[in-house]
Amino acid sequence: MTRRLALAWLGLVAAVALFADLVASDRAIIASIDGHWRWRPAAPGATLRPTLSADDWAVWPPIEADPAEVRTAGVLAPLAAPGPRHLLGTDDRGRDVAARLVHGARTSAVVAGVAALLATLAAGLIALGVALGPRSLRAVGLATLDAVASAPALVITVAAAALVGRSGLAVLAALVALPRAADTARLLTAQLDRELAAPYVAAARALGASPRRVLRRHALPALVPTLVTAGAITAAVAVLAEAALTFLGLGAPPPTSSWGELLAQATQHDLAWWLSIPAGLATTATAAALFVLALAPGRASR
Amino acid sequence: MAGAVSAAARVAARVIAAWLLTWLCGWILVELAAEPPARLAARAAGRLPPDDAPVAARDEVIAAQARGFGLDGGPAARTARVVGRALALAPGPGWRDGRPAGVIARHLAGATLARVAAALAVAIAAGALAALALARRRRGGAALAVGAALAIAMPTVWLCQLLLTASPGAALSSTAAVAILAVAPAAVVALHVGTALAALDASPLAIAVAARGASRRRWHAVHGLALIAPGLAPLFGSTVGFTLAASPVVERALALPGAGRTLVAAAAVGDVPVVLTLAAGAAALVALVAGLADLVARRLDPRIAEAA
Repeated sequence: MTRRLALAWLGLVAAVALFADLVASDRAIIASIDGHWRWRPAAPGATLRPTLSADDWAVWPPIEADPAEVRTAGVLAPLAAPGPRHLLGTDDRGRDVAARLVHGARTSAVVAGVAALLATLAAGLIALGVALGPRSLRAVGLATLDAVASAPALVITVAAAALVGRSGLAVLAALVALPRAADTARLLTAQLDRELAAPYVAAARALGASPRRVLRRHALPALVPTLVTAGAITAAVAVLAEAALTFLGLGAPPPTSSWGELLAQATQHDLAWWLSIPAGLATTATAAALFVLALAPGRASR
Repeated sequence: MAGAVSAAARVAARVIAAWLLTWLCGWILVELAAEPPARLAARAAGRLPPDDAPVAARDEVIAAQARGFGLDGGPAARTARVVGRALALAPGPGWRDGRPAGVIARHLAGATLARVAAALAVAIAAGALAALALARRRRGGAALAVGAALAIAMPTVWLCQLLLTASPGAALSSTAAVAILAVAPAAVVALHVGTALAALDASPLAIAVAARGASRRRWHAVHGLALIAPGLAPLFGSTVGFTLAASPVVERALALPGAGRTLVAAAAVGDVPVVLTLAAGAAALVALVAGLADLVARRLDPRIAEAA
């Protein structure tokens, strides 16, 4: 039940991230103007609406606001409480919070996805190198992994973000992935060692299987549950790290919409609840769903 | 005796590796940056002339910074100098104000470490109590898993905001900081204790203790916790890292002095020596605690040593 809920929430976040431009935008999704259908016409709603004749029509997004638009209809409305015009109010620049929340899902999804992919790939390669590489390098490799993995991740990420500077979401994801890759590699190395020493692998070898076949058909498939668990944990850590780094002023560069940015704004503006509660709930629910998924493969195998 | 010396040497090697690796990797990032280190140092000190200033004046300032902070020479020479200083435990002056980075780091580390230690103590007690309370309930295991996942998944900054909304006086309060820092580690401890208690409940020992008339509460509190305690020791290292990592956010959100806030302030202006000293210090501290925790775990439970 919990796992299904987690999957449903993650599916919703992924769909919102993918179709953020269709869910929250000041441009029509599709319009029929003078008998011609136009997919996402360039003109914003305020310009397009007065030009539509009686025969023209347009389908508008559920949240008709641009996440980066500072002024709405010529009136600056900073920190406006939720109302009919802005369902979740506005931020300190008069931008629609609901629109920024929707587009923030894309930021979180990109950071989480890229971090999980990078950390898992790097960890897999490192684990293969350590487990199958020369014995003389093995102790050094394991000691290095131990040293990197034991470092407090966010402190290291803050330091690295300061040294690299604000360079975009991909760099942010890479910074989050770095400490996680070492931790995952340590886990994978241990499991690969266990699998390669298992009786079924010895039997496969005795039957004439080559080292490559043993690895491809037996050892690597056994690592998949660990990879899924580690990937889900990395994604959850990335969602939380993005929020923390943005709050500390080292996260996604402005004017990128992100949940962490809304939380940071709430702290600066007397804890405005319409900034804090939706962003906090979205971050918590996404990270919790990923943690629940991370626990799922282990439970299934037990 | 030889075993103890070898174990202590392993821990020392781990600490030195964490300290040096953090310095080395951090400095490589600095060398890979678009701006040369001397220019970054001038920027951090606020001495870099504006863009429209004469090039000669700009170069003069950068050259002075390079001489003052030992940033002259090629990348290899600079890296060797930085690693040498890290080895000698003398990180050199901070780029912002020229004060020794080691002194800046030590000055506020005490407050942060005291909060982290208090948070860990609270987390262990609260986590164990929560696990014991839920272990007696039907479906307590599921409630514990969901509760722990939610507690770990709550962003630290949001926890601070919720606390400040509920109690505006929590700002500047170390007690509030300890409470917030303890939430995630308490969830980890509760999850570990809860899972271990559930496994122990099915053991022959549980049946024997119940046959002698001991209540479930007594079995959990007296026998269960004693059996689980050695397994908690290895958790200590990662939990210290977890708690230490949350410190910059908590200190900034609650406006408390500490190493975390200093790290963020140094990061904002690009004061590389202070950033690297604090990051490497944190990495070394976690490596030390994790190493000692491993030793304690092996001492308490010989099965761990045999497995290793």
